[in-house]
Amino acid sequence: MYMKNSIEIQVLDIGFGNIGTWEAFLPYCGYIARPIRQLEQYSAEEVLIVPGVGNFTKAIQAIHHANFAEILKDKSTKILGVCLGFQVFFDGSEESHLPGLKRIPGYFEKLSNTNIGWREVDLIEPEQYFFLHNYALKNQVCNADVRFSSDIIASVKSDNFCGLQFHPERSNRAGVQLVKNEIKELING
Amino acid sequence: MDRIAPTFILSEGKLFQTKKYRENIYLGCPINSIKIFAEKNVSENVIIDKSTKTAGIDIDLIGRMASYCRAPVCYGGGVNSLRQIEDIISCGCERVLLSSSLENDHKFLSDAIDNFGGSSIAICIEIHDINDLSTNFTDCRLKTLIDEINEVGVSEVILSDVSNSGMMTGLRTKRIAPIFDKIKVPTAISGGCCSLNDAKAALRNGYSSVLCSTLLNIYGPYNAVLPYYFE
Repeated sequence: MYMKNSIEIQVLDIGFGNIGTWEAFLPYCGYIARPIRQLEQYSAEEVLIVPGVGNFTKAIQAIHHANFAEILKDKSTKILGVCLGFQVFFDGSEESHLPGLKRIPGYFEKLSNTNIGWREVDLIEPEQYFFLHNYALKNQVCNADVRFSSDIIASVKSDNFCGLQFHPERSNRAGVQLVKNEIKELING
Repeated sequence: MDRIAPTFILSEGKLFQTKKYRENIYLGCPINSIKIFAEKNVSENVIIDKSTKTAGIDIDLIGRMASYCRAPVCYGGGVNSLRQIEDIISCGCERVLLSSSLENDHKFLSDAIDNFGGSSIAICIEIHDINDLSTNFTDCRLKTLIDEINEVGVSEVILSDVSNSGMMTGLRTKRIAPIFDKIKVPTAISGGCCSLNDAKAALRNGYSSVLCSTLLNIYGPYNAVLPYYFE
């Protein structure tokens, strides 16, 4: 699983992500996770994965507490944001009174029920990915490459940012292929 | 992909098939088993630890099991604090299953959701008696719990038909309908699944997922241990 000379990929680890999952998952994509817990560990030239399992308020508080807000807002920062780690980059969410990072316009609304299960999204090609979330972006995002799963926005790509509402790290082989692809795109600009 | 999830029932670090939720057939090393199912591209994994009252939650084992999974992982067993939920999510689980801890602590569910989001929390209701549908909650508490679940929203409720577990006689969806009908969030069923058709019928009847242990681990008239998943 661990390949010689695997590239390290930064993974934000400041208290709201499933870091253990990404440490185990990235080797399947040919990478090694490098947890970033403090500003001093972060390298601006490299891709940063922002994972997310949890609560919007706690995530935004953690980002500000760790002084990562300006870096994450900066459109030159190369980001792969997943689930909650995707949602925090927008204007805000019904889940929280705190504003998001506002890197991309959009607001997350509460779903009538948890969106849990495998849904098809056409990214590289139509594949099933695992969704698990209570809040969703429904309205179109301007100046971005947006893909839908039914009426829910499944992914947004814009200005060094790739955000995924679903969990590629838990989407079997399709998730592995997608993350390999997206990281390569972010690295190559 | 249909959500049919293998359930890994642990007791003191070992994997078991259970009958009526009591250890019955030793299935082997849990790491080995979860790796085999990962290769079979399962839709999901549910890990339940029965021995946490005596042994505590084995975070190290859960983390190691989760590290081999390429589909979501839900863990349940002995969870009664926010710190435990945080540790379980950090070690690699997407969801944490709460059950008996909600009987007396009426604030725990809302605290868990406030800290980790509703999509990270699932609830297990164990049905102990199929005739009167008594559960691991008092009748009064069950009613208030379901009302709270419907209001705040969790990722899923799992209805565990304990007296049918390991029996392979078929899911008793009609018998437990009175509880199922009261729940407004996605609801899974566990206990007694006997075939793929049985699981698919439950999914068609509105269940969001089916949890299986015996069906996916035991084969033939001599109860051979043979991990299996559907194509």
